[in-house]
Amino acid sequence: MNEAMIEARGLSKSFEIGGGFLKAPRHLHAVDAVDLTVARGETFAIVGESGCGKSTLARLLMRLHEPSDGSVRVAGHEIARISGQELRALRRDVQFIFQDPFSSLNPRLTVARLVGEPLEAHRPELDSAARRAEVARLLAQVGLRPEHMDRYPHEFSGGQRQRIGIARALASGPKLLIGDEPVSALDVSVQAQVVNLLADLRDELGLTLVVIAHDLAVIRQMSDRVAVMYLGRIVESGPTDAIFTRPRHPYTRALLAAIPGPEGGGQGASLTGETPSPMDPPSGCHFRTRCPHAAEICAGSRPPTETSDSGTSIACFRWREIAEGGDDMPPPPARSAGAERRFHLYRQALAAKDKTDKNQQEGQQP
Amino acid sequence: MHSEPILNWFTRWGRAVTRADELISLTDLTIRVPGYERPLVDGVGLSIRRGETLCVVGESGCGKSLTSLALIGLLPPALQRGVSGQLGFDGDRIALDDQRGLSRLRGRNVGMIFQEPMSSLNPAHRIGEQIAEAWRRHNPGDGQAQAVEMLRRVGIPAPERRMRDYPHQLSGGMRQRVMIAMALVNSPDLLIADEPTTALDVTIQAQILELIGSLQAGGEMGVMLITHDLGVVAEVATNVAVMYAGRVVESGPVEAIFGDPQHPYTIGLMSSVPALRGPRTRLASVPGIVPSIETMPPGCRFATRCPFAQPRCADTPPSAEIAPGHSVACHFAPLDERLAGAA
Ligand SMILES: Nc1ncnc2c1ncn2[C@@H]1O[C@H](COP(=O)(O)OP(=O)(O)OP(=O)(O)O)[C@@H](O)[C@H]1O
Ligand SMILES: Nc1ncnc2c1ncn2[C@@H]1O[C@H](COP(=O)(O)OP(=O)(O)OP(=O)(O)O)[C@@H](O)[C@H]1O
Ligand code: SF4
Ligand code: SF4
Ligand SMILES: [Mg+2]
Ligand SMILES: [Mg+2]
Repeated sequence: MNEAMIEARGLSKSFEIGGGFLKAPRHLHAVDAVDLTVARGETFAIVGESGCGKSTLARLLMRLHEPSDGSVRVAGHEIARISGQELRALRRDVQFIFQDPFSSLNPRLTVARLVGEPLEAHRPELDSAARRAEVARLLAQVGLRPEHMDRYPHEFSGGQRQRIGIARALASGPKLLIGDEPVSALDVSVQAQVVNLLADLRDELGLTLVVIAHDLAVIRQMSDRVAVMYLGRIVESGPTDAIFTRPRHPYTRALLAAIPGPEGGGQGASLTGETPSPMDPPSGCHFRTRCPHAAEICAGSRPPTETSDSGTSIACFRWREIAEGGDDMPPPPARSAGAERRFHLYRQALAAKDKTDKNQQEGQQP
Repeated sequence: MHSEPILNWFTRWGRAVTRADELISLTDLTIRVPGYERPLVDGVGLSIRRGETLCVVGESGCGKSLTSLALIGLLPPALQRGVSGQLGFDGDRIALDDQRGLSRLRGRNVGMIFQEPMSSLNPAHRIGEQIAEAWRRHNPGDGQAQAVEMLRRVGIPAPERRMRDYPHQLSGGMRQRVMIAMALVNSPDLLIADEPTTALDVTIQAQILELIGSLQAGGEMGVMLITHDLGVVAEVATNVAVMYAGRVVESGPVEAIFGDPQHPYTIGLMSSVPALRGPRTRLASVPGIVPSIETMPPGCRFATRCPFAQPRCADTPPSAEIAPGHSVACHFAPLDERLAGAA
């Protein structure tokens, strides 16, 4: 039982681009020799900018892509080799939540059908009445009401649609949920609701979560460990608190510094230029064309991954020298004492309202 | 003592305002939709002084974009018919239903940037030509030199060569720079930027925000920046207007909004944003969703989601100035003591 939920070694995916008559295709290394381990019951986050390979990596973990190289073990099974019964079990145990709940839900199906579908596949023993009861239970679990069952996706708000997507993912009784930007399309208020919901479900159901996001604050809120990707490679990974208090890799530091606001790095544009084309990445360290610390050594070979005393792994030739500089982030600005009190009151009132709402709802139920 | 770090922090975007004269003042903007009792946008007022940045924040569907479109007369026709209110622009007064008056303001006096640059750039034309065309609409000459100069100012390398590129040949960040070049080529008095960085990566967002700030710094241009990202607001705003369901519920200097927020909605929004530092605690959220025009409640529009709502909230709360320039529309503001009793 102690084995990891996911273990990926040297995992790679390259896509062939172009090519044709007398023209060799070019290769795009979307995921480039990635190692990662996700423990059971933890929330593991993958962060990085657009095109760095997050979604491709997630799809590899579910075998929605065949890897070009390397291996993935999920709950001890080498997923490239399984088939038949075992593959069905994998499809049941590992579920996906998508960024855009609207495009991932068939608009012509009612919620009862959408959530019931995976039940038909994975729990054929249920008759239709039992299935409906199970759908109702799943909906309640994600904070929706039974009367929502006979409605269609367009009748729901974005946050509610994301809840439907989560209920659908939970229907097969998975052990591992992989969310590709599950809260990115939502307003902060609704995002907070869904972030809390996912945390509750993880605790109640003992799920393992892999969450992809580009919002570092969301990642910090949700995860136990983080991997930061740049151009197909993991450049830094480790415990969330360690990464956020003492980021070591220049790219991680730049990402944090770029977050706007007094609460964020608030250091403005610390990086110039843009991410180079993944078809033609720089030699050696892929980050060197934008790295303020780049030196000659960085162009030669891929930097080895080394471990720091705070338990983080860093792929940078120069991280020891760089870390010497003072890297404590400035303290966030304070609110007035009155404001602090109001924030506290807001939480209290919210909890109280939640309780009365729940009681009322239960009272109304036949 | 308490607010000192805030004051120190909020000093980045051209805040050394020398002339404090009002550039625009919008009063009582109301947009009615036939068949609905309650207006979509209800009595919105805003003002922007030269050299300042007003950030308009609020959840999706709160009327941020409609407000900006109304003040330049670019609402869809169905909504334009239901508009009322007044706009003061650099001393002139224009009624918001006066389309001709508003169209005179556009172009020369107002520049616009939107979230998705592809929707405003013509994919079939070279970018240099599009900027030059924007120049020619209001000026003599072919605009070529101005286009090159603008591309250089927005940080596009080798601008003479890049003039010949088509929009699809550029990255998202570069396209947004081109949009900014187009919006600013006529040196507008007011720049309206509607979610200009929402689609961009965080490192590119930082570059674009810095660019807008540097183009504004020391100048006379006022900026109205629409965003839902409170981090962006804290970074660039001089003043903030928090919108909820078609009304401004709280407004004031950025220091007051972040240091001493008063409206339950502002507090709820801020509580929903996860922190980057300090202890990680469960997020408070704003329960429920923004009402639509069909489900708009009477009185305080936030009442359906507000944890402090009382019977009195069925009456519309007036906007009250609780500190100089800081206004709040809640019956119970300033909140402290009475709230403690309510909770
Ligand atoms: N099926 C495919 N064929 C060719 N190239 C692909 C394919 N899927 C992804 N890519 C390329 O692989 C790289 C990584 O893409 P991926 O979608 O994994 O990035 P991402 O980190 O999820 O980005 P985003 O944040 O924009 O979703 C990109 O350069 C992308 O264009
Ligand atoms: N013709 C119309 N009739 C009725 N309602 C409309 C009409 N046009 C727009 N609306 C509604 O007006 C509200 C305000 O829209 P607006 O685009 O200004 O919101 P916003 O604050 O900019 O949101 P976002 O952050 O999503 O851009 C939305 O709820 C929208 O559905
Ligand atoms: S290896 Fe060199 S270029 Fe890469 S992050 Fe480290 S210092 Fe920068
Ligand atoms: S007026 Fe009432 S419902 Fe509206 S924000 Fe204030 S307390 Fe809440
Ligand atoms: Mg992706
Ligand atoms: Mg909008």
